[in-house]
Amino acid sequence: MTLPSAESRAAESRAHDDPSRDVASDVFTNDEEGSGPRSRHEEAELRLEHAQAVGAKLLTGLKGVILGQDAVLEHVLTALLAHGHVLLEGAPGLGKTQLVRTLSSLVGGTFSRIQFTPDLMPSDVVGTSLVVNVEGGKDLRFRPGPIFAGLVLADEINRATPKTQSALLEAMAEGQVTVEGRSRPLPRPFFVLATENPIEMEGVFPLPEAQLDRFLMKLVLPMPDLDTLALIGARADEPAIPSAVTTPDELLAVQATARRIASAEHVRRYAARLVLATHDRPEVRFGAGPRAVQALMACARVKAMLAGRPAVAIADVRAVAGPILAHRIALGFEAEARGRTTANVIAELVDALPEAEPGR
Amino acid sequence: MSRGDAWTAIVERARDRLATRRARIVLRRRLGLVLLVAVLASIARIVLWPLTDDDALLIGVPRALALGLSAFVLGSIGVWLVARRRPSVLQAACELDAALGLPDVIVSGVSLQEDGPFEALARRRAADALVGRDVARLLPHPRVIPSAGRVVLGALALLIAAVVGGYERSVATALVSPPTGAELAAAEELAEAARALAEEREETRREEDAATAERSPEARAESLARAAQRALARGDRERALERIDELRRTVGERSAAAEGLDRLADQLARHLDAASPSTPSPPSPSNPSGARAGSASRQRSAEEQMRLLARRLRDPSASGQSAEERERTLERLARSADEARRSGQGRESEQLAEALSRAQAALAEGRAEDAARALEEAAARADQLSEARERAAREGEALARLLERAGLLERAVQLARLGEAGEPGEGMALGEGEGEGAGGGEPGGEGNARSLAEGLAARLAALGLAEGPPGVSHGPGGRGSDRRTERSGLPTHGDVHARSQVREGERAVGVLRGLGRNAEAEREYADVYPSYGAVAEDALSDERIPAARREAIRRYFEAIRPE
Repeated sequence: MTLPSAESRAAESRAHDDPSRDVASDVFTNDEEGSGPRSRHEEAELRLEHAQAVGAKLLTGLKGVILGQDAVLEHVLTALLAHGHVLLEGAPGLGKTQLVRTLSSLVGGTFSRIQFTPDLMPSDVVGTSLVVNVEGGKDLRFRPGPIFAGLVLADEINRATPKTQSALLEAMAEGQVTVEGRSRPLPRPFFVLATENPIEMEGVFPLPEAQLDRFLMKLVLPMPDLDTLALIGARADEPAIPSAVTTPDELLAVQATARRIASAEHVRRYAARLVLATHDRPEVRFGAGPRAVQALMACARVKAMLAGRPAVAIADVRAVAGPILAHRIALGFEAEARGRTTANVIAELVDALPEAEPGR
Repeated sequence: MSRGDAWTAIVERARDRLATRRARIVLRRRLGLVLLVAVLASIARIVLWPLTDDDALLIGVPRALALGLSAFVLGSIGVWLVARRRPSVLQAACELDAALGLPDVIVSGVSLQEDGPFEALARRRAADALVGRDVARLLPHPRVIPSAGRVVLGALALLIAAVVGGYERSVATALVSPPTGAELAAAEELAEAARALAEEREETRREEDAATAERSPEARAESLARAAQRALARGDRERALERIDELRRTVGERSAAAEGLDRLADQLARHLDAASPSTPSPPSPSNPSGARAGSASRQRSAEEQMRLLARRLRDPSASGQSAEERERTLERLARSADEARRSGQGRESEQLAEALSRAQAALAEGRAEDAARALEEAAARADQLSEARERAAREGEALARLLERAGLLERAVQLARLGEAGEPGEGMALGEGEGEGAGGGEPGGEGNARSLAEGLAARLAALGLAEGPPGVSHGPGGRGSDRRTERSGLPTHGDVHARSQVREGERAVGVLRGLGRNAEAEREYADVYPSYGAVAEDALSDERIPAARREAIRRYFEAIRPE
C-alpha cells in the first residue's frame, strides 16, 4: 500500500472546509487503483491494519522517549486520533513538554509552545496584524500567533486570564481563529495539550466547567515509580527526538478511519447509561453532559481501531471512561470533605454499571 | 447453508444451550431450598397423607419418604421450568464472546446490521469466530448434582424427615406392646356386635335409600365399631379409644333423637286426647294386635285420634259442636303443631306440624272438609314417625350391645395399659387398692396382667363400682320395661368383674346432652360420680403423674365424692 505524499496547506484547508470529506477514502481509492475491486470488508480490513500500524508506531515512538507513563501516552494518542484535545495535570518535570515535542516530531507536523502568564494577551496566542514595509509603501500583514501549529502545548493554561483562555478554547472548539473579523483556519491535524500545575494554585484563573468540557480528556501525570526513575537517571543525555513516523495527512486518514469504526446499539446505550449514571450519585454535584457521550464513543472507536477491531466493544468505553468523565463531573462538598475524588467515583460507577441492560 | 446462516444458527443453538445452562445453575443454587421443601413435606405427612384405620402403623415412614421424594422431584422440575428461559440474541452473543474470550466480536456481528464496510467486517469476524465451533464445548453445562458428601447429607436429612414424618403416636406402643389376647377378643366381640347391628339394619336399608341409610347414626356407629376393631388389631390403642368415644357420642346423639320422638309422641297424644272425643280407639292397621305398651301405644292413639277427629269433622251430625269445644280443639291443634315444630325431628315432624297448622286454620275458618283432609295428612305423617320410632327401638337393642362391647374393649385396653406400666410404684398402688377393696383379690394368679386386673377390680370395689369376691361374674343385667339397657356387670379381665352403676346408651348420654343444652341435669351427681371415679383412678395409675402428687390428687377425688 502506497500512502499519498504530504499534502499542501491548501489541501488541508479544503479538507477542513468540507468536514464530510473522508481523507481515508481517498487513500484507499488510490490504493485500489490497478489492483482490482476489493470487497467492502477487505477495504475495511486494510484501513484497520493501516490505522493500527500508524497508532503502534506513534505509541512506540512516544514510549521510547517518555518513560513510565504508558497509560497516559495511550490516552494522549487516543485523544489525538479522536480529534480531541487533552488537559494534562502534573507536577513540573514530569515530561509534559517532552511529550508534546516528541509527538509533534513523530507526526511530522509543526509544534509550538505557549507559556501562559497573567499578562498574556489573546493576540499573543492567535496573532496580530502588523504594519510592514512593502514596495511602494506600507501594508498591514497578519502575523500568525503560536496557535497556528499542528500540535500546541499550552503550558500552565490556568495562569492566563479568562479572556486569553477563551481565545485558545475557540481555536480548540472550532479549528479556526478570528482576527480582525476574518476567520483563519488552523492547520490540520490540530491538537492542543494544555497543562495545569496542581501545586501552585495562587494567582491562577481556574478553567470554568463549560470550558473544561472542550477538552476531550483530562489526564493526570503520575509520579514514575522507582524502576522508571532509575532508568531515567541512567540516561546521560536527553533522549534524541525521534524522526517522523507518519505525516499529518496520514494522521487525518487514521482519524477518519476511527470515525468509521462501527458501534452497536448496545455499546452506545452503555455509554449513555454511564453518563446518566453520573447524575444518580448523591456525592456528585453535577454530572456529565451529552458531549461526554460523544467523547466516550469517539475515544472508544479509536481504542477499537488501535486494537484492530471493526466495531466498538463495551470494554473500550470502560477503558476511556476515567479520563473522559474526570473533568466533566463535580463532587459535592461532603464527598470532597470525605476525601473522595472524581476518579474514585468514576471507577465505582464503571464497576457498578452492568454491561447488559436490564430487559434487553 | 451459507456462512452467514451458519453462524446465526450457532447463536440460536447457543440460546437453547444457555437456557438449559441457566436452569441448571439456578437449580444447583436452589437445591438446598428444594430439599428443605422436601423435608417439610415429609414432616407434614401426618397432615398431607394421614393414616386411615385400615393402614398399618409403619406405613407412615414410606409414605413420608414418598412425599419427600415427590416434593423434591416436583420442586426440582418447578425450579427448572421457571429458570429455563431463552436469553436474547444479544445476551447469547455476549456469552459466546465471553466463552471465546473475545471483546464483543460476536455481539457486534449480531448487532450491526447496517451496510457499511466496517459493519460487514464485524459480521465477517463474528462468522470467522463462530463457524465450525461446537456450542456444547463452548458452553459446557455445569454440574447439577452436588458433591458426594452433600448428597449423603441431603439423603440423610430426607431420611430423618421421613422417620419424623412417618411417626405415629401409637407406633412405639404397638411395637413395644402389641395387642393382648383379651384386647383382640374384645375387639372381635365389638366387630361381631357391629355385624349384628348391620343385620338388624338390613330391613332399614331396604326401606330407605342408600344415601340416607349411609348417613344414619346407626351406620356411623357400625362403621366406628369396625374402625375401633381394626385400629386395635393393628396395635393403635389410642385410635381405638378415639373411635369408641366417637361411637359413644354417635349413639348418644341417636338416643337423644329417639327420646325426642318419644317425647313428641307423648305430647301429641296428650294434646289430641284432650281435643278428641273420649271414645275408645279401635286397633290401628299399623298395630292390629294392640300389644304395644307405653308411649308407642299413646302415639298410635294420637294418630287414631287425628283420624277420629277428621271423621267427626266430616260427620254432619256432629256439626253442632259447642263453641267451647271448638275453641278447645283449635287450641289443642295449635299446641300439637307447635310441639311438632319444636321437636326438631326432621322433615317428617315439620310436615306434621304444617298439616296440623293447616287443620287448625281450616277449622278456625269453618272449612270442616279441609280441616279433615289436613288431619288425615297429619295422621299419615304421624304414622311415618311411628314407624321411625319402631325402627329405632328395634335397632336400639343392637346399639346397646354395641356400646356394651365397646365398653368392654375400652376396659381391656385400659387393663393392657396397666399391664404395660409394671413399675414398683404401680405395684404399691395396686396393693393399696386391694386393701381397700370389699372382697380383696387373689394373690398370685396368672401373672402380672391378672394381678393387675384383680387390683383394678379391688379399686373399683373400693369406689363402689364392684362388688362381691373377685372371680364372680355378674353377667348382663336384665332389661327393664322401658327397654333401656342397664349394664349391671362389667367384665374387666378374665374372671374379674366389677359392677357399674352407669347406664349405657340413652340414659348416660342424655345427662350429658341435657347439660350441654344448659338444661337441668336428669340424674343426680351421686349417680354419675362412680363413672368418673373410675376414670380418676385410671388417671392416677398413669405414670405421667408424679408419685409425690398422686396422694394429693387422690385426696381431692375423695373430697368431691358424694356422701
